Amino acid sequence: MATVTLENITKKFDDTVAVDDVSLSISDGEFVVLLGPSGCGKTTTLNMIAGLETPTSGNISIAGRRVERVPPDQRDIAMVFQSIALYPHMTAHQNIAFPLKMAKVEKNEINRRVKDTAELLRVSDLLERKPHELSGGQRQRVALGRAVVRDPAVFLFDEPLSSLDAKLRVDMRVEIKKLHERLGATFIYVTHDQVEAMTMSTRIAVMDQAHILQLGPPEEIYGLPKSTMVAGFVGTPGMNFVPGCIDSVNGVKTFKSAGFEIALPEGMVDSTIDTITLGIRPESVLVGEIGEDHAKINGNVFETEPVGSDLFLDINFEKFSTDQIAETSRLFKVRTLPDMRVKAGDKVMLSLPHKKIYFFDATGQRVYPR
Amino acid sequence: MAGPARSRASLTDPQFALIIVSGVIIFHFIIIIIPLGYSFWLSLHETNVILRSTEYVGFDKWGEVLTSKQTINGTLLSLYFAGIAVVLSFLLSLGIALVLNQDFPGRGFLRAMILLPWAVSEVVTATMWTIILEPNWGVLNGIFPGTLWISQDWAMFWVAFAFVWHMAPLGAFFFLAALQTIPKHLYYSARIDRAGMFARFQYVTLPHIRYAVLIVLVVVTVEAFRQFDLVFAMTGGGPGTVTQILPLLIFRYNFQFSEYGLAAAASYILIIIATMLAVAYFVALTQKKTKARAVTESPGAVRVRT
Repeated sequence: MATVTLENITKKFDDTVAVDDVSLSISDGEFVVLLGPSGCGKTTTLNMIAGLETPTSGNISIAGRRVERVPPDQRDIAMVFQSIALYPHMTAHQNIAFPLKMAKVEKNEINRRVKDTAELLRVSDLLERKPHELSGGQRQRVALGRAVVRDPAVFLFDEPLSSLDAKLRVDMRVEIKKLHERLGATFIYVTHDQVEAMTMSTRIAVMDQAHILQLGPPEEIYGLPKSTMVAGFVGTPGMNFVPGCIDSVNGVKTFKSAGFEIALPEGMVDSTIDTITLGIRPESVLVGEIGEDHAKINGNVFETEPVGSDLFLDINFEKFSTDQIAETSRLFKVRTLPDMRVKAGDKVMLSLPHKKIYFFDATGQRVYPR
Repeated sequence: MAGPARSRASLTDPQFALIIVSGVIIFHFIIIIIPLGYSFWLSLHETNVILRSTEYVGFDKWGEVLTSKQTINGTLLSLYFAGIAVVLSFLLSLGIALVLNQDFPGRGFLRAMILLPWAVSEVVTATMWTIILEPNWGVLNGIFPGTLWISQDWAMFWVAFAFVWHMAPLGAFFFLAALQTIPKHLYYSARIDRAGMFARFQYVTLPHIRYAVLIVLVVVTVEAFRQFDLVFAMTGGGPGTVTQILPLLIFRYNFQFSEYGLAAAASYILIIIATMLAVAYFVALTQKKTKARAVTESPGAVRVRT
């Protein structure tokens, strides 16, 4: 069990800065997910914690001990890779036993621990098989076993589920979460899948372009995103962004965009602003006219996307010119109930709850709610 | 126009494949199978060049070859030559490949350079090493005067060394190709699993290059056993007969003594030894393929065979 601390970590590959002045403090037993698009520096950060890369500058501590110059095998960590990285010529048993064998653990002890681990991960029947005789999910469980058997203080995961199919991913998500609860060790998990991040973590660090944009519990990342980047990355589909300005109409602060105008309740925004972005999640928008505390806008249904459990509407606005309508990235997404009878071309009224509206400034930083 | 197009389209894949390989098969038959059969026929006959007569003698020539001191000595020298050649070129190839597999500036250039010794012909290789080792005016003697580099005792080593110099790049290329297929993550994983440098080589590198090892061993062994040009050009079998390996002896039987039957029988011994070694490598290095067990696609799922 261990804390992991990164202080001002920077990693440069030639002229490219992969990780730029990142600091992160992870408590004992936490499940922290590094979330971000590919190339954001999350895997490099993890590799530095593992000792597979050496930081250009900055400090890394595991359990209070400085480890930047400590080789990976002496850091008391275990790692699971996206490529699974089982030794192909060894059986599942030999794979799980390998770290113990390397640590010169006594043979009976190895067998006992491999057996326990195999039971925990439900691979007892597969121990004599080689990796090519296992399915993707079984392989990943064996790889997990190889990490678990060492009883390390810190588990590192580098997109372990992205090579699995969708259904298996859902199952394994639960298993990894359960494993964390059972072992109580510190988990650091890298993924670009925001659903994995939201469902498993105790805290998420959203990364982009070598920086941590926001660090917090999943609800906070979802509910109070610091920037358009975070808001757009978390949630499926991502938040709707409408660029516009704040103007004063008869003393009432009004948000004006190319598609619609809405009067804002008092206290939301104090001054007029030339460039601002309104944000609202597709699941916050309601179809129909709802009472007080909601802004009302009219739109046209451009297309409908039924996904079974939900119905997504792609809305465009009458005020748009033809060019703007054609630009689908401008579509405003709304999640609604699957039994709603709407078809392309219908006019709909949408209600935006005041409480669910966000504003972001010209640099993309959240200005409301403050 | 439609006729030929239709007939071409109507060829099945196996038919097409047969047409493609038939050229090779015919060629192979002419340059390998027929000579092989002819030399077997020769080995069963006593040929008199002067009388231009042949007489069937059964396996007499084989018996003569198997008991002659000359051939036994030549065979032993061949084994000795091949032994040095295989061990040294294997180690050198693997070493070169491991170095070239690392990341360093100028790697691409070095990779191209390293293949050059193999591209040079064997006679040129022999000439070059002769220039280096010649006792009177050789390069090595110029640098270290007074040492007899290619003495009676060391002649075979140097001949084998020249062969290694010539062959090692090829092996290095096979190894390098195999090394590059090893996923980087396996090394990462092994490092985290506390495997040291040698353990990583043993458990990750070696299992991945075993087929390259097999190919290199077979190619180098066969090459070493049939090696003629280099040894002939470098020492001609001397000093004395210390480098008179089997192919040289066969050459002498055939072209100096016109003993075609002996030459043919000795050639067969050479082929048999080389084939036996190649088969032994295959047996030692190829794993018995275990019957692939049925694998369920996902946990809990049962594949129903209908």
